[in-house]
Amino acid sequence: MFLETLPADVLRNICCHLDGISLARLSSTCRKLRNVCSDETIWLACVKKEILEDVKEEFIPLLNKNSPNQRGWYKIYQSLHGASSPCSSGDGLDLTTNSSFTFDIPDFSGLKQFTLSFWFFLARDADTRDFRALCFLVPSKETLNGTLCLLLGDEDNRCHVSQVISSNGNVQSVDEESVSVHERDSFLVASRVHSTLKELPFYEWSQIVLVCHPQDSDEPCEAPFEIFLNGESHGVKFALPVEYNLAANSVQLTFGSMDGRARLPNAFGHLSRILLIPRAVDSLGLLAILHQSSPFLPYPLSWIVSAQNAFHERVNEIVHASKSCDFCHIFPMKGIIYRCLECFPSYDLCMKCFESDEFILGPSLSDHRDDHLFLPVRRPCSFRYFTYFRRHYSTGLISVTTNDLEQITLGNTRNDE
Amino acid sequence: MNNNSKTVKLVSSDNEIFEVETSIISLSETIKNVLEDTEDTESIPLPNVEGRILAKVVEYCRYHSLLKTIPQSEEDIERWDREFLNVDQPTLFHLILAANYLDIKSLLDLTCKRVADMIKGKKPEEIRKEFNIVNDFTPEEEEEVRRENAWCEDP
Repeated sequence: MFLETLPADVLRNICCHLDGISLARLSSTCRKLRNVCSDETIWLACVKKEILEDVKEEFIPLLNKNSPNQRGWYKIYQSLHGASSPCSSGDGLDLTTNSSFTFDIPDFSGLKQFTLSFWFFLARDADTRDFRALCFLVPSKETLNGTLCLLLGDEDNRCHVSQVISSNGNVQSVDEESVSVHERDSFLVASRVHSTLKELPFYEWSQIVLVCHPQDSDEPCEAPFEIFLNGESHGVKFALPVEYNLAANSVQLTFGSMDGRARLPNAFGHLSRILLIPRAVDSLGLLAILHQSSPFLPYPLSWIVSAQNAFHERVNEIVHASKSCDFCHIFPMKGIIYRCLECFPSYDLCMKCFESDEFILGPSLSDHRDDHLFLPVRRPCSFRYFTYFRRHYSTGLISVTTNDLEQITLGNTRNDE
Repeated sequence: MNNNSKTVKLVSSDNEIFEVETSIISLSETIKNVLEDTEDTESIPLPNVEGRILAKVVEYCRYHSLLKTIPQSEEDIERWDREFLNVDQPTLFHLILAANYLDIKSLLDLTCKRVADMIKGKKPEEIRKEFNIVNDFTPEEEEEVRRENAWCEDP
């Protein structure tokens, strides 16, 4: 009398008492058990009872909508389980789970500010009329520990941060508007929602821009983060730069739940892309732009990291032979060129003018306005990516792949020049 | 004749005869149906169930139908069930088959859960060893399965 000789419906009954991991392990033992364990209804039951236990029944089928393959629930369990690391495998980042990935920034000391732009899948609770979205940032150093914000909309569709969950699992309710959490050792976060959110139908995409102001003082920061919700336009909003130094040299971004078990609203927190663009005057170049896609995401995820050491000792050795500064007219320009992302024809500034801020006050023949953003360009060859970058920057569709500063390569994209 | 004291004879595969009150054995949907369909049945042959297994089944039914008249605490029931299932693997599997055949849902769930508990927390190799499962995968298939389920193993 052996286990595998039991009738199939009995084996299925046994499987229904198993958790997903045991089920997967059991399926690795022999052919018959593998067949039994590949039953999708068992996996659906696992997803329901282990991962989405507090999710309303009617939402669950939506999860499997985008995976036409036969083993949809198995794969969803696998990804929601969080044991897989989609980033390391290069398969894409499934943000229905507590996926995380880490990127290293070679020298963060010159970075004064960076901006995270999240695309979130906002869900609206039919009963409470709450909007739900989730964003979570975990830098590795204690200067920026971690934040998880649950954004909820109230009756007037005003969005506010209702909860801040620290990396140690503490949940803190926060008041509308002013938010500051002084739990320096575990994390720090302060969030302020500036715009109101238009009423969105269920499952409509919206955008949250998380602006991070890193700081290195020992005092708790009053407002290291700002969140902008933009339900209407897809434009990226930037805050004014704040003079902070980020001492960390590695930043980890994590999405999903922190206790290792994804729950909704995480499953609604489909994040399609993150943009990390420095507004900092002394950072330059596109550092890393990654393009990720996932079968469970309607849109591919791509994220851009742009950070540089402005005080690179060799920066002044770079000569841009054909360019002159549009403010002081120095020719040729050396070092970093700051090119406006909005102006056309191009508006370039040399490092000296850009850093002096004189150009804001001084007369200018161009249409440049001081709320425009600059993209720092270090290498002459980088200009050929500029048009591309600017166009996609404005539409939010940047998907460029690069591994290091020296060789920027484009992946899955068209080169404009 | 009092309905409660009405009995039926169950005949096991090895011709062992168990005289059981119908109210007790009605936990089994299969027997309940037989009793409803045929009047004045004196004995029901159960060629799929051995005597020693049938004895266990009757023991289970007796205890659980007794609970209807004399309620016990959840803890006591759990302890009794655990004690009841403290059997060797072949007996457990035969109990599962009997519960399946006799359609006793609570017993089937209980025994299946017991097997599931034996599987839980074990690696594939340990599961094979526990249940004497023969690995009938070809090396290629095994590699495929291993890759497919790599996510549930620790790195």
